[in-house]
Amino acid sequence: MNENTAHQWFAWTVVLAVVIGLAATMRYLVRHGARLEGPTTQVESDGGWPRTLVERDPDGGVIRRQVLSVPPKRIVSVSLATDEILVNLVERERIAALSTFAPKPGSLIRDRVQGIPKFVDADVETIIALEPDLCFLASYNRAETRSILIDSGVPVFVFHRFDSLDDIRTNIRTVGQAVGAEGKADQLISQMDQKIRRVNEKLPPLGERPTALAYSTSGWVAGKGTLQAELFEAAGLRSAAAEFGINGFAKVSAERILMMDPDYLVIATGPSDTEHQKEWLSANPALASLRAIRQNRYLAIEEPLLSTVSHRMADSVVQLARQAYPDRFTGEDE
Amino acid sequence: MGAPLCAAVMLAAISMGPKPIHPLTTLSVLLKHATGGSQVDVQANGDGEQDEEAAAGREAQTSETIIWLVRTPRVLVAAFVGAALAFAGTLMQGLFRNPLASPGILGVSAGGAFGAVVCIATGWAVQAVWPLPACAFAGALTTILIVYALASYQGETPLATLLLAGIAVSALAGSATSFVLVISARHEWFVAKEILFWTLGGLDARLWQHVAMVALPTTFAIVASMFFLRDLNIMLLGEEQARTLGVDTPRLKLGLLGIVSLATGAAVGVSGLIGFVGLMIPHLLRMMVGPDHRSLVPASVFGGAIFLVVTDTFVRCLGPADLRLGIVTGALGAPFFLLLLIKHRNQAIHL
Repeated sequence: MNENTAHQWFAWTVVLAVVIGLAATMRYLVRHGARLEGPTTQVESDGGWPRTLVERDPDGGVIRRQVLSVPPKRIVSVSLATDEILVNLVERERIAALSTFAPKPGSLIRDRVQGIPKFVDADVETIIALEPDLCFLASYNRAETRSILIDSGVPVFVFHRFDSLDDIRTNIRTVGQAVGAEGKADQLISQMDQKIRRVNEKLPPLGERPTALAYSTSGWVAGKGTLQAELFEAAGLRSAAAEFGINGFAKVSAERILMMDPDYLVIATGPSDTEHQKEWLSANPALASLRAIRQNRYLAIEEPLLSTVSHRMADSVVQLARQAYPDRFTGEDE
Repeated sequence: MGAPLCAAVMLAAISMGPKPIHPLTTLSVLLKHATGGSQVDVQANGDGEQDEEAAAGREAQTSETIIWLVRTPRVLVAAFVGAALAFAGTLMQGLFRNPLASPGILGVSAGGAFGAVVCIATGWAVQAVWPLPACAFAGALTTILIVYALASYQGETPLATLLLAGIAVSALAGSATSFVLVISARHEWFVAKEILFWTLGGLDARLWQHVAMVALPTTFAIVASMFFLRDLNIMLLGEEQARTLGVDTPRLKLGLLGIVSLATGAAVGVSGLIGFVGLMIPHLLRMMVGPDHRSLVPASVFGGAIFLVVTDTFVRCLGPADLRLGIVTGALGAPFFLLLLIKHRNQAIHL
């Protein structure tokens, strides 16, 4: 084999190795999907103080322990999920800052944030300047942000995932333990469960429940394993996307929507936007043949309620169920 | 002159930020830590003292924390990244004898980006600090090895072939990165958002570990390049001329490519993709100090450091929360690049 041929073989081998490597990486990611498996925090408490925040890695191993000597008085939250829980558990004076999402129009607590001194994102300098004695971070916040805050002595609580109602209950309970408001946390969970239970008592048998699909202008739908699927189930609706075999969130074509052909289309919007959304759906000639559009079967729900991951999900369940089964919820004040 | 100016700019940058801190306070904190006081005194979850003395103590502690743990690492990373990119750009423009050459043309940046996004997509990046820069660095070095292997033949590495291989591998890495982004968005929107933000470049939440990750390779690369600068000057006459004058051009190319990859990979690993620094700074400084690499390279090092520190300070203090550093350098670099093109076009026409 002469040198020229040997070099060609070598070059093609390198190219093949690169292509195989890339294909293997892509296959792994397609199969397993992107993951957020950062650490999460639990609270060790005997009911009194001090309490310990235990940060665990995805395998359950302990990464670090941080001690809360007294109930925190300068709490910072950088995610809307913890904002919604905190305003229900602690006095306003104990909140040093909420997330920048809290006062915005899409927030369910925008009417309850008067008097909150500051709204922050995950900028470490801004957070440290507030001198917090407890900071709630989301699992998707950077490891570097977490590291700097911990190095500067700020106890950090990393939030668990929000994939189910059980996750929501766990998170509310854990936040309650961290801020010394276990009673209020249990009350919040109890109120949420009671609302959902009252709805469930009025629902028809499983086989008589309609299918529903939340389909927005972005083209994304939520399938099996999402909080939205659990919301639909609690409201007496079968998730058309989950039954179609979609796992997690997916962008689907009009063709797949036609194959799903749900009984109801869930529109996430404000009251003034409902007609606009309906027009957008009806204007798509491919979707015009959907049963839900031809029969004008829409379930309108405020976007913050559709995407909430706090105890407010109970209100989402009520709103959807009342529209889906108007004859079963007449004259009720849920 | 470069070093004192750079130090002054960095000190000013460390003093600036959302929380007002007096420059003398900044200096005293830095001196304290430089002379052995390496720990920030912290009191987690104190017992609620409200008196003025305690409040003043907490205020001082907060300022020290911000200066030593937040601003100083970030400013140092900005300086080293700017230095690395400008220095690498200078070497690339000298090696390719092309004023439009930049550190990214060999695919190093694209390969580093791919390594980083895979790390983010698999969830390793949120578990600890080191995986993300390590994967980016590994991606960058793997890419240059592939490019060099593809472009080399019988001990020779023609520059034109190197460039073509770099463009091809860069395109492949870029499409793979986009695919990872799409897959991530399907499963976990926050991951996709993190990937997008990383590819736009940024220096938020930099730690002392990041300073070490970029400072050591960059310093080594700069020192190592000193042994090649004389030969690089001769290369400006052309590769054939350089050979006849006794320059070992294959060794020179291999050495410079290794140095550029080391510096660029280290920079990409801690800052994401920041463009145009390696293109603009060598040009500006060549107009001031001339084309001799023995003075141009040190000038580029300090010039790049100062430029990126100033730009990042602007982003940190004055920009909106989501403004990324790569967007600002791109916004500054694009008009500069156009001016360069027009200048070259006019020169070509007049010839």
